[in-house]
Amino acid sequence: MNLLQIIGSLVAVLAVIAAVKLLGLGRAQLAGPSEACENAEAMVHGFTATDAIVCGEGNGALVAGDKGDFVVLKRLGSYYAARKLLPPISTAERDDTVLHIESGDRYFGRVNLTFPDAASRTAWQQRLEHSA
Amino acid sequence: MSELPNPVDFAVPAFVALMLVEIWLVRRRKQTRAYSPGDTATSLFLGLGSTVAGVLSAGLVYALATWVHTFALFDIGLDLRSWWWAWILCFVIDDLAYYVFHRSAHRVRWFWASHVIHHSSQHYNLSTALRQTWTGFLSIAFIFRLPLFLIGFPPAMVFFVAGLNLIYQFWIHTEAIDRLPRWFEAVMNTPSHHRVHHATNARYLDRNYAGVFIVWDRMFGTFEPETEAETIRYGLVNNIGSFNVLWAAVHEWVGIVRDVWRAPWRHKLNYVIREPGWSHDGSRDTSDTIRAAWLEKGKQ
Ligand SMILES: [Zn+2]
Ligand SMILES: [Zn+2]
Repeated sequence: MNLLQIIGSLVAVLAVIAAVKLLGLGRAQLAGPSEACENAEAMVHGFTATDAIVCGEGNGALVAGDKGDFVVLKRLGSYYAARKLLPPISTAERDDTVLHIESGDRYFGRVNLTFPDAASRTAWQQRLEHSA
Repeated sequence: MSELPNPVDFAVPAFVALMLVEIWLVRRRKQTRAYSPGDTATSLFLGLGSTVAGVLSAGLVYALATWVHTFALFDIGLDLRSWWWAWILCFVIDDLAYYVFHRSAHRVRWFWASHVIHHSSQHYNLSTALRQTWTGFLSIAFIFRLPLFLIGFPPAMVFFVAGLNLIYQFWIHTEAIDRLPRWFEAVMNTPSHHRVHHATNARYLDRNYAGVFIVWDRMFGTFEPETEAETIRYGLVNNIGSFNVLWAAVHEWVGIVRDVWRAPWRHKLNYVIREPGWSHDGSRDTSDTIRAAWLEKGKQ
């Protein structure tokens, strides 16, 4: 592998990424709470969802489980990644509708959820803070 | 170094062209979830990094192979005209060695820590094929090819056919091809068989380890056909949830160090040699526990 090959590969890599971007690929949107529940149950083994709220135009979701546990979903490209939230769950409201949730995993990171309204944000924040 | 070129170097332009074709095709078919810019970038930079890592360790691996070859049982030459059958045999045995390596890579955490990179995307497209390890040398994956040198296949021949094997595996990373003719699906590894390998669905976990010939899985009981009834979820049992290239490359190694550090003495080694997800208190999921729970659920 010589310098020319490395530069050539780099140019090719950037061209492929640009093509994906220009053609507008990689969009996903959670259709509703049931899709969020389905995602959480499939990705967190042993988790049984009871209800969920879809946030930020389908970019993420909070899912409650039957054991008083919670799973947060965040969009990553075309799919969703899930983390079970371990109590005590650390949350912080940025404004009326936006909630920051620490996933407890440095690279999964903090998830910022935009709720449909202030009331739902408050309700879910209280549920999280009282989770066992 | 090797007197033969690395065939992968010549295949790279074709890889790029085929990715562009696939991107155009999924756009036309409105399968907009097939690719996403962040995921593609991660895959391709992991591929680039893997090539660099491979070049850095190639000298050492080649020297080791040459040394092992001095104990060879048979004297096999490189010349294609007189040794054509040895080339074919070498390709087939190397593919068997790949099967053994790949199966171990999913069942022993030390090998998994290197291989996990390849499974770290939740997307499945041609760029996923280029998500290759940076830490293959550290994981000592090269030991699986040593028997070939002991038999007597020259290192240059083995590395050449290994390159061809890797090239073959590129095109099977796609959802754009559904099923191929029955006779082909019976013998060869195909997009359908390899989608199963990348799936996290309980039914599909730890199945279809083949490189080129799916017959190994059929022979050794690890074959699972793809079924229309189930939507595939690609990726890992615990998805990393990040496009960070460096983290994708090393996260399982960090996990091993953490677990070994925290574990009681008598369990430390098991966190290195047992299957991914194994824990001394049974608090984590392995592919076996997930499959067992799924089978149990099916019975009810
Ligand atoms: Zn694998
Ligand atoms: Zn693969």
